[in-house]
Amino acid sequence: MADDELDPRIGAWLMEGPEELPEMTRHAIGVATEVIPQKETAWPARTAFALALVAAAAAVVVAVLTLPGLISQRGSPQPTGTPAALQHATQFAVPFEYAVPEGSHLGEVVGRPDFYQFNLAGDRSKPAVAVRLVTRVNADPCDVAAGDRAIARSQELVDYLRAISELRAGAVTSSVVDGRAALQLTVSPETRAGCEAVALWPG
Amino acid sequence: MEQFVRRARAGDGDAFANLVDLTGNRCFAIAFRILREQAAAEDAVQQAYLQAWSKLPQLKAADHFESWLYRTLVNVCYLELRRRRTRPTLALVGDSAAGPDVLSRIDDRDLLERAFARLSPEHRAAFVLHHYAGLPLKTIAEVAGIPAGTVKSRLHYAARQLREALDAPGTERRGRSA
Repeated sequence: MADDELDPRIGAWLMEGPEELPEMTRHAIGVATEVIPQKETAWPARTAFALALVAAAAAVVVAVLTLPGLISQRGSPQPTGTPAALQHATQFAVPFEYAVPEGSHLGEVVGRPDFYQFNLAGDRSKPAVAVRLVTRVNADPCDVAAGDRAIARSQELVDYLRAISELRAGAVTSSVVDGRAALQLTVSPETRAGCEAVALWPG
Repeated sequence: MEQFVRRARAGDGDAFANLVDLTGNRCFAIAFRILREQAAAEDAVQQAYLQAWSKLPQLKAADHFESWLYRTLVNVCYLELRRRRTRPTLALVGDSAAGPDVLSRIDDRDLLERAFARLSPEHRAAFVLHHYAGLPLKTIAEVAGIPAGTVKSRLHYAARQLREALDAPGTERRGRSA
């Protein structure tokens, strides 16, 4: 079965259910908008510098700890220099501590010991730091249907990431995360995309 | 739609009502399929629109209104799912479902509801946005604020979980003779 083909039983189940917003809800929205004020425009004009900052923030920072790989996305693997609060990821498979900006909070655990995320204060939807335990990677990052394979050593994960042509990988450096020896590698999307979406690991 | 967005952004409530007319059914259908409960879906849609109305002046590109609205809706659904951590509500099969394989369909639905309830909010949302709403990976990535590859992984994982729930050996279905 092709990756995008959905089992007809699942497709039929998904299509079942209401599709029309009840009039009462529609009316309630209309009434509420009459009394709720709009917030003033908050964004300043974007400068090239601001755009550069966004691009830098989008770069993925990877820290690889002991076996298997521990990946940190969208954040520095080092404690921040700003006023910070120490967060404890006690439920994570490899418990660790992390200094995050003041007001940040644990965003989600989703009941899994392999995924941890802290969100920035003021916007619960934006991940500041996501940490993920990687034990398997997709055999073909362009084709999730091709299956996956186990990763046994941190260096294997680094080699895997560096071999993906859709990613631009920087130099690998030694680092320390929460007292553990680590490898650090920064990867960002390559401008010339070889496939529509690169999926690095299952789930 | 962009004209309505621009007018609503300037505080025109009637224009916003038009936007609700244009997008309300779709938002509700998506919310229902993520949350699997009608009342929760109604609340989520209402909250999403009120947030959208309040923050609309901050939306710079009028042509991005729909994906921006979906993002707001999905975030409301995430919060609702985490707040409730509810057990799935199983819908009853209506008359329209009558047929020779009705009992099997009831069992399939039961299995699917349970499997879907075990998915994380993020997996649920990606699955519904793609397989129900028909949004492409790139748009879902924009809505969810994640790389397209992550969307792809989530879709694959969710579909596999649901399919495995249906195909699990030893799954007993009512109404089938041994």
